Amino acid sequence: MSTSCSRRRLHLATPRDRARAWLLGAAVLVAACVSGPGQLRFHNRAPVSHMNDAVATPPPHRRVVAKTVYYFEYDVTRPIAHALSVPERTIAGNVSSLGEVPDSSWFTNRIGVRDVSVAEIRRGGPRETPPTPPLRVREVFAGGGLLAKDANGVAFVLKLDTPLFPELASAADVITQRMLWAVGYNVPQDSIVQVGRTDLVVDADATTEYNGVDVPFREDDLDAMLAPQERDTAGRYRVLASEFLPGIPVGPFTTEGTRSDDPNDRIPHEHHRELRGWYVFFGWLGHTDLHPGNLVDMWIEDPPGSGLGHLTHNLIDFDQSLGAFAVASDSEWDTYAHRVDYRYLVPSVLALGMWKRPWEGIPPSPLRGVGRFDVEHFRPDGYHPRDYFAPFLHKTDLDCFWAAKILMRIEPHHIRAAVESAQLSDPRSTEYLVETLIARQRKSARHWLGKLTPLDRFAVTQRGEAAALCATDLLMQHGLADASAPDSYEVAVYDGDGRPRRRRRVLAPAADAQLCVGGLDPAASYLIVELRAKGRDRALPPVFVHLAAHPRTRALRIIGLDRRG
Amino acid sequence: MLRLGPLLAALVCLWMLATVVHAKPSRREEATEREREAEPTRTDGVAQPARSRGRKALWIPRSLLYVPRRAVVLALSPIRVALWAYDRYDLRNRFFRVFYFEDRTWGLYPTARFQSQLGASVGGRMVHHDLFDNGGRLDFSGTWGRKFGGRATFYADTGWLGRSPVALGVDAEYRLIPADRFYGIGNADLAASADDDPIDALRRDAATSSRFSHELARGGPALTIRAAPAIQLAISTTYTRRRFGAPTRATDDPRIDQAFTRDSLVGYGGVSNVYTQLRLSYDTVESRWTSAVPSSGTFASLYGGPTRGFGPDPSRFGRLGLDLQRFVDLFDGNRVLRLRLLVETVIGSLRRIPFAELPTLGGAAWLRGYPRARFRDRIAAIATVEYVYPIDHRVSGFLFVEPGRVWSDPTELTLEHLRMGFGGGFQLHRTSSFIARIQLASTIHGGFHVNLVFSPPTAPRDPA
Repeated sequence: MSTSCSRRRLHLATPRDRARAWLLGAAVLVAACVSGPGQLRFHNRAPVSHMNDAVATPPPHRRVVAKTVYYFEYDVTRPIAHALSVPERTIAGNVSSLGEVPDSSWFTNRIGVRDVSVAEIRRGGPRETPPTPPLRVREVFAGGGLLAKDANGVAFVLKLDTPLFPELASAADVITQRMLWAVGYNVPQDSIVQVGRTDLVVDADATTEYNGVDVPFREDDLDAMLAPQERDTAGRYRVLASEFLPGIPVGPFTTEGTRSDDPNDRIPHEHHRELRGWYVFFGWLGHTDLHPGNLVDMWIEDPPGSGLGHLTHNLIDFDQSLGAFAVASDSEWDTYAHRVDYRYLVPSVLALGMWKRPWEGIPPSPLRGVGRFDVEHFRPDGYHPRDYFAPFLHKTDLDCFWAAKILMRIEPHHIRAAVESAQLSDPRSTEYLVETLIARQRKSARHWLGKLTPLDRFAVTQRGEAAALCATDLLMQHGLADASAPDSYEVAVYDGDGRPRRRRRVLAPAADAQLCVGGLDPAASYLIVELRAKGRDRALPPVFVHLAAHPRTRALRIIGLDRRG
Repeated sequence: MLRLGPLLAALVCLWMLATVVHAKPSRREEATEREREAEPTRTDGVAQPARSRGRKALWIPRSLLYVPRRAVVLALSPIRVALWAYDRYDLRNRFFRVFYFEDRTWGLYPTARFQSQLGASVGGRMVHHDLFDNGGRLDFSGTWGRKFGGRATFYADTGWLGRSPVALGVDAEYRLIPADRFYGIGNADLAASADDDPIDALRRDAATSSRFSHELARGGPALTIRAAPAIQLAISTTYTRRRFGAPTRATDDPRIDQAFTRDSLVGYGGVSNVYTQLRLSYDTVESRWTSAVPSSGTFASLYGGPTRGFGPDPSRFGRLGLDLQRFVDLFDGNRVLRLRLLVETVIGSLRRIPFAELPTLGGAAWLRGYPRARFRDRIAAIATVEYVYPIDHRVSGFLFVEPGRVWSDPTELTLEHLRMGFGGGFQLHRTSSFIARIQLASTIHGGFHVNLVFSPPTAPRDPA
């Protein structure tokens, strides 16, 4: 038993404390009596770590989304219809028996699974890909982005900062892109480059859209675009260069359901854990721009010339994250509320302005290149994307717990490398963003890891004749434990039929955050170990670790986690 | 006799209990079925899936809410279809391609509008957003509706000429109102029914609702000088021509010349005059949230000038007005208290002031809650206390109270028989511009008005 636990007992001095302790004890007792491992059992096989959803198929049709209809659907109709449908929170459908998301065309486990180097973070991906001048501009998009090809024929989308807010959008983009890449999402490789006017050449047949039709784009049009931009001492412009994603774009992926013309797409997208987990990552990064244009499916022909291939599902455009949109568009509600937010609409009418809403009264940062992005007003469960996002309507604490685990694998030096890659001219801005990202990361992780039994990294070790199940207390490991964090765990062991094998025990994690349950019968064919966190103020839902004897070696191994939430 | 109610209730309870308690369906069959499924849907390695115990009971609220859910979706589907067409057929760009010249500065397009109390109207509008490449504006529009009548307006200004603090403009309007209202002159209560004998409007001892047709043509040039960043001086000359007659649309109200004596309706035979105005404005108003909601500062405007009639028009009077507005930022630039005092007076004998040129109160902007031009006399004053607060990013709410009245003479100024309007509503706006107001207003004397207003509440008062 840890000393901290003993010390806490001494604090139960007041009648209120004693009453709370009795209530908690009673709750734990009742929970222990009525619960058990239940009916859930796992196949005796190794957890899936890769999902083969890249079976070669013909290219799907290019999907076109009516943006206005999408906004109407997800700002007005769908939230009401969703609430009236009395939805049931369901466990994500694409998780392994350990609750992890296997590698797929959506997600690749990177940080924590392998060492992600600082150099990779600085590059924003596995390769060095800054564009090689000259850059030939071929097209200008409606939003102001320039489609250009560099000297090697590689296509890039070039973006300029809003002259009124230099460095803001480009810095937000590269920082967020690097963090999301490290986590495991498919994102384009973005970088900040300094280009001179002579590095940019407008193609003779370059076009831009005007009144819905393509019109020529000329050198003097480019001059007009560049005129209000800042230049460095060498006369160069700061440009965000985003490498074109590999493959052929086939339109956005839906946030609900599946793509009917992609046989690999079998799990409704709202039930993808990695999409639900965006809630944690995007909340941390203040990224809210989730409209369909930024959710891109690319068809990759494999092998080339075969006419067959598979889709990858990508996320683009992060230049409105880190509070940049709130500043540049004067939308201080961004990340706090949806564009149309029923939770604020009716109370705002009735309160007659006497209710101070969460985003109000917060002064903008005076630092160059920094948006409305702070720690003090950040609430991990208070994040709201601009439009309702279907996977978030279905998310559970299990999804957020999964995301928070990955979030804490990002080390401070990773964050610093990402922020430094934004090349902010004011070192104070760099320091502020590093500190703020770290503080928000810890705040978010403390919240989401604290909602469930915070044990992970389960492993079976052999201790003499018996086996032991060891796990890591994530809150303790990351120094996130506070007064409400669990300080001990109640442990029970069941056989495969759900019958108790041993008397319940209470264990405390060691100083290195390791908790080991020893004395497991190595000859057992199926064991279930229940671990229930005990805190001072509340009981957390338990986690059941399912172990089975390997069919060949007969050694106990973990085949599944039943994490209750 | 068999009592079915309790029996049914007991059966439902038993069934629900069984649903909750019996949580063990044929899991082996289910597992076998899942086993058959090929990768990639199988990732979880679950042999016997967990089920939430209360899941089956969810059919009850789902059934109850099925109809409301479908109703919401159905009710919103016309908007969805319209938006789909907007996107599918790129209607915004098509609009500009069809009705605007290539650089979108010149445009000529049809208009349609519905106004409370004035019904539907249709027309056309020609605009130029960048006259002389100087930010100048040209706006020419024509509107017609059965109740509304006809209206044509022309406006053009040069913008600030070069880098000078001088702008030139010209403004003209032609208006045909089939059944305009006249209630008499003064602050009197409305009579329940008109007397048989016509009222002498100049004696101001009674008010009744009457109608007349009103043809108005006016226009003239204006010169604006920016004397300092916050101070502007504007000089304008307006020629006005008015013709009155019997209403050209059937109404329940009597004709003006039946309800009031012909002699007391000064200018009824026709108005043809010139008004020269000097306006000095001081403007330090700032907006922190949206320019549609000023958040702090002061706007003060002092204006006035003489009016002289031609031919049979007896007009010979002076006009003087003061418009004071103060915006108090209560919180965050979007909880704002708007205080306004507007006093307007005409100086001269009532026999030399056409009844249509007297300052009026009532309508959607001045003494809200009362009908348009319900009160008119030589002096009109109104005080507005309006509180604006945010609801959504593009919607704000407002509450107001608006006391005011008219007087016939400065020596009779009193706050007795004060008229008071109050109400509230919602204002729609963009980040950079006002869109419209939906306004509900009433008065201490009863009555209820709903207005859709397309001009911002801070706009200066037009000449009568």
